[in-house]
Amino acid sequence: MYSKILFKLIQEAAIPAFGLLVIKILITTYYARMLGYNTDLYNIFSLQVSQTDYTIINSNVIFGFVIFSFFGLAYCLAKSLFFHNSHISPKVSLSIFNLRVGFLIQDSFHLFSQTLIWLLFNFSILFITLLLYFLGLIYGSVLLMSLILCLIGMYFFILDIEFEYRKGLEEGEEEVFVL
Amino acid sequence: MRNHDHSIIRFVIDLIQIAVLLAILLSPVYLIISLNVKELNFKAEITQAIAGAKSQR
Repeated sequence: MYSKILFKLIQEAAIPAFGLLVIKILITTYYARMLGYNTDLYNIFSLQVSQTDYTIINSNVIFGFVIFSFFGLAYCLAKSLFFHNSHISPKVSLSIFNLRVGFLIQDSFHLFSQTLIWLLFNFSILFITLLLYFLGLIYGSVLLMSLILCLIGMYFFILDIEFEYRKGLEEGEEEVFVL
Repeated sequence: MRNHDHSIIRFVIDLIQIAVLLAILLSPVYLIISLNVKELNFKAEITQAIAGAKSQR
């Protein structure tokens, strides 16, 4: 009745979005209180600050976002590069099951949808960072960090797709893309 | 394209799902721009500019 892949993507996107919301609330509350604003949960999304304070608060919020989304992406990429069920070695597989962390071994459908979502969050953050930087509202170092981490994530994601594609060709599978 | 459901309900559900996904993916943008700058109150500036233009006539 409904699209399974879209449902899966929505499911995977819920956790990062909640994490970003928590980071936003924590960092904005901390810095706004430090800078002398009366902040609570009710006015946190309609807070008005001066331009210098805006730069400080938003740069830190974006820094938190970038770090959080990169760690999420790195976790997914590590799973897909080392513990992908299509190319995991039997030795590594055995040690993973001995350590009782068998949930790390997943198939392409789970891994690619999860990695894609984290990557899209990274790009979404990069887009708004770029916009705010050209308006002169955040530090350049935050933009640079966001850009570099995005490119690193993108590179490893492409590497993993390429690796799996070559592996499939070596095993004589047909070139079938299921969307 | 075999075994695909081409009904209108399926199309509407797909659209809703895409809208939800887009809203979730763009949530960082909302979270970042929800902070306002006092000096850059565009609405007040535009209202003031219009009022000024009217009084000059």
